[in-house]
Amino acid sequence: MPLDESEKGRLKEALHKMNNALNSISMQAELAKMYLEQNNSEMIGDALGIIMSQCRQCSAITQNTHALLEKD
Amino acid sequence: MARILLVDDDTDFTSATQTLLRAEHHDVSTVGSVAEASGALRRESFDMLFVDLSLPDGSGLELIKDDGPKAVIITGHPSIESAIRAVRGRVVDYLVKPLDKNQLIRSIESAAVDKPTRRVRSIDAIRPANMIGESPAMKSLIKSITEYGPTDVTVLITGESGTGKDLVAQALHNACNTDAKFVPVNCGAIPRELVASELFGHEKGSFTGAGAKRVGIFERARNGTVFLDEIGELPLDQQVALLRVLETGSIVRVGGEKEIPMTARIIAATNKDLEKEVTEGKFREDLFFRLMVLPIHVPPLREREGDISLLVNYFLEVYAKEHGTPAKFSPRLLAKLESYHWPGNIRELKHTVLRAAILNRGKDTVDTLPDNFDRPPRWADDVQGLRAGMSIKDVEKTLIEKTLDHFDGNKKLTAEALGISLKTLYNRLVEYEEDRV
Repeated sequence: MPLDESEKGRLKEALHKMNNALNSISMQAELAKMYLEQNNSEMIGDALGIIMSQCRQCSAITQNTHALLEKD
Repeated sequence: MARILLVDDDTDFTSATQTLLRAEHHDVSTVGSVAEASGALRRESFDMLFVDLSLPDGSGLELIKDDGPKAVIITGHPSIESAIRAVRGRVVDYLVKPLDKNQLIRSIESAAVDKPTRRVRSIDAIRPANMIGESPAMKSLIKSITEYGPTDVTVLITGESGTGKDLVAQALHNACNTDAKFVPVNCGAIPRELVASELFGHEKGSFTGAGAKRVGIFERARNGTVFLDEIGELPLDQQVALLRVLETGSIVRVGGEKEIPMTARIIAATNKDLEKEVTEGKFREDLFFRLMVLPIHVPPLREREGDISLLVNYFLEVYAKEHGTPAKFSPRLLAKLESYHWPGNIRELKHTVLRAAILNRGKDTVDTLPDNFDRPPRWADDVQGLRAGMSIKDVEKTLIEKTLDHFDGNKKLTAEALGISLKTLYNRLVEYEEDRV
């Protein structure tokens, strides 16, 4: 059954939030790599902390999206 | 280095990107909304705008203007390409989230090599105010400037000392109709050991005393013009480095490894016979041909029939405003100036007019010329102190000392009259002092 406009809108919103989280993850991962090359362990720890929190956010978005798709 | 404004409300993303791009030597400011970005764009100038489409108070598209910085759009929706293509303004790229660092850097580099549009301008718009002359030789020079100006091709300007090669370089830059910088550098005035750093920049710690990173003139000029005056004075080892820049179109800072695209135009000038310098092994032949793509010869004043009176009147007006000296020249004296051959060219004429103006201060008209105006020290018949069998070094020393005396110790005027750089003059004086000790 095709999605209605409201559902499409909510899915787009979910994808948008997911992309934002992934964007932070990718840049923080680049940053962690740079600090790794500079042997700056404290900054690597900070970058990894942000990456993990963003991963949890991605996970929450994924679960909400599944719930939306399985609604019917 | 580019000045970048990054507009995104995701602070984890902006802080990481700012740190990464700063490590690549870019100057990055971050804001999180359309309103904040509008304020930043009003207050400061940026080379590039990285803008997220979805911002809390509107769309990032609102920030992209025809007369604004080049823009890279960041979007979470891959299907938005067609919508972005329809946007007016200076969009140079769009990036789909999640980004990676290399994508960002490629965007910045591609924007940097996006050369400004060069349009033909009228000669009145490109000619510096003090580039005076209506003679056939001058008209031919102007024609070359209007033809060669609106290109980005390397130009080599030749001509005797004092003919105004720097004005020709400025006019060529003006003809590009660009807001980019004109960065002149006198190759003969930079201490030998600092030439590479001055031209190409250096990384922090690359040599003793390099306490901070320095951007060289090629990077400073960006899409503008680098004017390498007295190119014949460039040391041979740096001639190799310059040749490499011309061949590869990129520079590497001293102590660095990264190749940075070189987008500036190069204009070089010399009063030397570079072909002769090549034959004598003092100038690299390959560099000579690289620079000689478009040659322009600036005529000496003695070949510019009719221009002397125009120049005299121009200089007289300038000095009248600056020093309150007479604004008119007696026709009899003007005829005398016109009949002289001016081996020191416009520089010599300018100094003569200044000396005459000051000498006649308080009068309506300049009716007296300085003594021996037509026998400046460089071409004087006075060879007292010179004798057959003297070494060239001693002849040079005598000539420098006599010229210094003539100009009452003024080193700038002395260097100009002798056709050498101020640095060369200082070096010689230090040598003489050391010989004395």
